[in-house]
Amino acid sequence: MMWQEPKTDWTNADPVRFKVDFYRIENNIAWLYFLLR
Amino acid sequence: MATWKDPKIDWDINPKSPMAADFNRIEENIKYLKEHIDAKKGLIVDAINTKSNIVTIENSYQELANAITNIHKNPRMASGTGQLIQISDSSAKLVVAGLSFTPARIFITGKVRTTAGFYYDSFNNTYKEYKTPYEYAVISDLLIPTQIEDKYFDNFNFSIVRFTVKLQCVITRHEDGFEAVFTNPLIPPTGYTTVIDNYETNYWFAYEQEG
Repeated sequence: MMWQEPKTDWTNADPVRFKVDFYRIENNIAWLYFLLR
Repeated sequence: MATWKDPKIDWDINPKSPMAADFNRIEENIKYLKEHIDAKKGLIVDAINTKSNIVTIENSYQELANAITNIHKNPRMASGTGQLIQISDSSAKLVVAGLSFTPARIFITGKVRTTAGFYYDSFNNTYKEYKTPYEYAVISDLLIPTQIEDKYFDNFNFSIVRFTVKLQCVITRHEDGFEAVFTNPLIPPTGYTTVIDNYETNYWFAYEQEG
């Protein structure tokens, strides 16, 4: 697990890549949880 | 810097297809939280590491609290002897290195001989230098005595010549020791030199910062 820079330039034309984008989002949330423990 | 946007927390009663704005909000809020944790937890990490370099941002808050509780509870100390090294005619330094800590409080004692003053020899039309022993202690970066009085009996003029001599010390701390520079600030007449010589052994004590 490690921090990945969030994608903050989404457009409606961007496809959602579940294995990449959701992995990043959930992974980053897990990283925040780790830092806050 | 990311900006915080209130999360949409009514997906259960107000569902919709997620749009780019939703993903941007979610990811920017994650970024915002990361930046603020780094900055604010980082303040505590940096403060601890200023005392002793023992934690990182990845340590838990419990570990940071333990570090604060235990830090320098028993400050380390070291002592030893050393010889002055000449820097110039009127200055010399004591160098201490290889300590396992950065010294906070430093004490030094030692003795040198140094120029107390110059007096005019009218018979020979020249200046004569008078030197005096100077026994000192350095406590909390202040050299004491800050000055000493000495006198010389001038046989030729049958008079007493009085001198006030000063010695100064500036200490520079390093990660593993310190350097103490001793200087006699007396400005000599043109063509003459103020000196520090006859260095005797310095005894030093160094203590780590407490608390």
